Amino acid sequence: MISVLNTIDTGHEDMIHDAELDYYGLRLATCSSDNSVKIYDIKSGTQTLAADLKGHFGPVWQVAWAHPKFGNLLASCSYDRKVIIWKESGEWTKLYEYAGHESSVNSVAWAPAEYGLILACCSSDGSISTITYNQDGGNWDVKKIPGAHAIGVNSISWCPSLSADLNFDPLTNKEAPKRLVSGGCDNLIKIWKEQGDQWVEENRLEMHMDWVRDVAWAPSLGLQRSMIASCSQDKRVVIWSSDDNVSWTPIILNTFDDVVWSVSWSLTGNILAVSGGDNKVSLWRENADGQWLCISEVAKGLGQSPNEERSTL
Amino acid sequence: MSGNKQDVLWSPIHHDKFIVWGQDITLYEVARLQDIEKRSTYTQLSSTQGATVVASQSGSGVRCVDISAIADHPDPLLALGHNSGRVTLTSLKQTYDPLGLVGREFVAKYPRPCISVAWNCTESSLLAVGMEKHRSDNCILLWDVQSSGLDEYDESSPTPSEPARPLSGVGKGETAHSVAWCGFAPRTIVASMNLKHIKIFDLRENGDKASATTSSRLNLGAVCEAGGWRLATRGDAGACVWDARALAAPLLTLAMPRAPRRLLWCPTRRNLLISLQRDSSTLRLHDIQQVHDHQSQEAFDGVSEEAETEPCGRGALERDVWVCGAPLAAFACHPTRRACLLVLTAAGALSEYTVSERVSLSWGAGGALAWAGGGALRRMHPAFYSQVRDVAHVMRERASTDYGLKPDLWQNADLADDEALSGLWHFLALSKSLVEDGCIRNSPWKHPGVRGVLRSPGEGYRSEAAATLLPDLPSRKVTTYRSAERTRALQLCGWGWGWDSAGAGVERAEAEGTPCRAAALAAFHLRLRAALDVLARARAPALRVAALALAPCAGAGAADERLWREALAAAAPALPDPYLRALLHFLSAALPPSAPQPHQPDYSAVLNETEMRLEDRVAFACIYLPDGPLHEYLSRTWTELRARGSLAALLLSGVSADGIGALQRWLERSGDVQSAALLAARCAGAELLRDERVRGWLAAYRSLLDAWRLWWPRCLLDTWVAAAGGGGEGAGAGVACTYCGKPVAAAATARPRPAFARLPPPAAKMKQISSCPNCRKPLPRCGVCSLHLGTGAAGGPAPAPPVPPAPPAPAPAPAAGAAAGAHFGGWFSWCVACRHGGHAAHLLQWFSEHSECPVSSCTCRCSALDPPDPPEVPSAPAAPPGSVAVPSGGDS
Repeated sequence: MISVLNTIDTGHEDMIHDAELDYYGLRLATCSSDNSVKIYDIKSGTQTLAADLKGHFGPVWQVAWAHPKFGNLLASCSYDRKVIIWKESGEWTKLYEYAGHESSVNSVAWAPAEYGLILACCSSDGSISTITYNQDGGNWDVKKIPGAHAIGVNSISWCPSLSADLNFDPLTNKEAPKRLVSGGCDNLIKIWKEQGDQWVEENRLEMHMDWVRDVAWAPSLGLQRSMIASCSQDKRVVIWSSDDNVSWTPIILNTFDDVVWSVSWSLTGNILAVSGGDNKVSLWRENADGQWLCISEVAKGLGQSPNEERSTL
Repeated sequence: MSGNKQDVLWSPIHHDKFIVWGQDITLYEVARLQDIEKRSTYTQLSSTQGATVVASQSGSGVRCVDISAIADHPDPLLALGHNSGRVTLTSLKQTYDPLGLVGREFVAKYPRPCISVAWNCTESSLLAVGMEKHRSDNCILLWDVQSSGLDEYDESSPTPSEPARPLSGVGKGETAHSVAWCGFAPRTIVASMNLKHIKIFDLRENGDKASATTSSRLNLGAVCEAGGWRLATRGDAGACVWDARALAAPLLTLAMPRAPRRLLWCPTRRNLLISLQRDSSTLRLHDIQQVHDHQSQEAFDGVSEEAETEPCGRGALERDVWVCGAPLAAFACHPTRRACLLVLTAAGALSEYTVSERVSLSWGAGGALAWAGGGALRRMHPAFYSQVRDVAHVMRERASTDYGLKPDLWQNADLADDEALSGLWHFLALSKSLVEDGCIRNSPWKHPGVRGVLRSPGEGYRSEAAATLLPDLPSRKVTTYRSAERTRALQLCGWGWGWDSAGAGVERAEAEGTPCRAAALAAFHLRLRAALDVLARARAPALRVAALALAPCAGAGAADERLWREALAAAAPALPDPYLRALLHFLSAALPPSAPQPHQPDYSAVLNETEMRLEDRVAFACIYLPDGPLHEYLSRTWTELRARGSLAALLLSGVSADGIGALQRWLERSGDVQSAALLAARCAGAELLRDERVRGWLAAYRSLLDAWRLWWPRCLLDTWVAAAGGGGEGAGAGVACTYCGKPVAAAATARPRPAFARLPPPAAKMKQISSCPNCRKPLPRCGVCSLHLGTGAAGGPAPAPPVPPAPPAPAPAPAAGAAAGAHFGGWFSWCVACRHGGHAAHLLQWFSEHSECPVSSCTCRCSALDPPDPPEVPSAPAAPPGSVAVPSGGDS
């Protein structure tokens, strides 16, 4: 048993919903129910507030950093139905505001940088939007997938650009289709593929018995297999794997004691972090036999003294 | 309603005390389990806490209870509202009572049941009481428990038991089903009246008029959010959330399948409303969301229709939570512990429950895990990653030691910190030297494997079988096979041919502390005496005993040989060391009981000893197996290893097309894209580097190095790849004109362009060029010498004379490093943070003495933005720290 946690004081007045480190791990963006987005500079383990972005009028659910080759860009999505793209040039300003959704925008994700500057967002109104920066015109093009999931879309994640089927056919590499995975309140996971001008539903993965809370496409650093992790209010985490991005095989990672909120892959995609409603964060790794084993568990007691925050390794 | 009424209440000031109220009113005290004396009975609340009974009294006739917030009171002071209309104060316990409040009674003028009592939390002596209807009395009475009795005792009170008069009262002729204090203003009460209305009374004003009122079917149990304007009420069909400033219409209606029997705002977690439905075993959490928009703000100021037009401006995220699996009777929120609930089941059991919040996780691109949950943001301690041996962390550690980039392949083996990887680097160093020495010729790959050098029998090659004498057993012969190909394969396995080179291997193995391996190697070379000597010298006594097993075969007669063989067969599997087992299997197979007939001994027990190192097994096979079985053995082993994704497979394949496949399998298993990319960069030829998989590894590893800001290893990697003929993919930066956006260098390199026919001759032009060749606008000036970039950097520390800004090779190979470095002084170079720059040579010189940007008004600490230089700068062209240097002839 060792203590493994650093608690970061964010100065948010209310619940923090998301925290993202940028590409270099030098900055941390957080967002909160107090309607604000804050940016911290991280240096040798301490953080100083660099910016406090105010522009949303409702709880801000998620933030996402763009690849630094596009400059310092941060996207945030909020309950107020808006997506804001912030840009730092000297100081942080609103670069673009997207108000095309009719309900809370639950998740934002930047596409792999190889595709250009593309943002996907999904909303409780059941639709998914992709917003593409058009370099020539300097404007943003919006494509919408209406009715992607009945009742609402909770989470969205991009297929990495260096992935699975590309490797098998080098000639079509440049034309490789973009893919998205989304999870929604209809208990489904859907995989979307860009065809020409349109996003079409390529696959729907049925396994969960309650709302799908989060989906995460694993980064594939040199791997030929694609993996998607999904978690749901049915307390289960499922790993979907595929060799061709077309046929997917599910494995139930675990059934937890409570709702599972969030899943996140490590940098190399071989450790999965899972956060459950029982206030635990657990880490899972696949062994040589293809079984997923819990390698660490961190119980995070709310309101308890810090020394009760321990991890079992 | 009164028959089975059960409730649980926390004391607002004694954070470790609560009451449970049913048949009896019982005061509990919470303590940690280890602090509770063993013999006392307690109720367990959670895994760490339990509650002990402090006091109890009968609850008969009590209709409602509240605990006061009077700070000086040593024990919770309760106000009990009775059916008779009396309100009594009690502390359930005979204790010191400094204020003399215990036992006091407050009685309404006209007796009727008292339905609700509520203590004010800020003005803690105020007590609001809601009563049944009486036509000539107020239904809400406000008492001041500390003053009213004393001051007005002598006045016209008819009996001493009815000494006090209420401070004020409202709601004449009405019924107050519940009263609660509002959090947004002092002395303000929200009450559910007459099963119809929700009324807000400001008791600071005299008069019976409600300051706000509305009627609703969901009108019971009004509660106000602490410190906020929102109210919540319940009814048969669900619950409603209201804004106290605009009571005309509810903010939100929460439909529920069953009537809620209790509704509370969580005092420690904003926006959280908790409801318990009748006969339910779950609590429903309503996370009330609201857009704080200007428009909805205006909506409060009167125009309520506007709020209607925003149907999704507010809503609630709802969730049902199971607490303990039993039907619940009541719950209470802890006054300070965040979102902590105490739950009372219908059966009377108690349980603690903490509302867990959505926790969102993120692995940053830098590889650090952070998560947000509740009010806190947490990050994994850096030590954590090394503990779980996250491969990303391992790779980062290695990358900072220049792993895989050292000039000699074997130098990387120690940095790998992994046995299999380090073995592979050694093997690659060996195969490289064998190729360079000319021992292995005609190999299509730089690093051939065993299967590459041994051709299959179908290609018309035959090994020569020879009966070899055992030097220590002159009467015995063992068949061995030899050929030039086998010799090379043995060299690849590190065995060499003949006892001369093998003897050295035996000594090395012994020196490495593996006497069993040394003995086995000696025995495989038929030196039984040497094997015995090695075992006899071994430090572990068990091994010296094992030598006993060998001894008979060295000197035994034929008679007792059968006995020895049987004993051996029985003992071998029990031996702990694979090499000892292999050794004994080998002896029993190689020395057949009936010697003279030529036969093929069965070595499968040795070959299948998979705990032995692969190179030893393969080398053994190369000596003792005839061509057919050898080939079959190798392909079987290869298929097996490849399927398992074992790194050892590269011994068989070498770094070849097959080897890339094996490496890919290994990568799928280990996730170590670093080693894969580096092995490819160092050992694969130009052809293999064009393989899509290899390019994928390199791209992935480059992106990792970028994210880690490890520019030096990244630079070295690109240099190695370029040297191996993989193309200069690393040269990704170029210089473009600010004005016209066209690359500055393109024109300079594309010399024979007719458009420039009118310009001065190329040599003269290139010395003088200080403007964009496309639009003729001037190029930026160097921050140090103030000359336009593009002019020669005269006087720089670079040994070269003024150089034209177009070096010939955009990505110089290490061999060409010196030549390219001569041009380096003239390269465009700039800081990516402040965008100031100049000639690379000038900047290098500047930053050797300064830390701030050379441009006078700029305080950017360009050189401090990057990790310090590695001690030995490699021969590759190096950029000044914190900046990007680009040959102006580079592609854009």
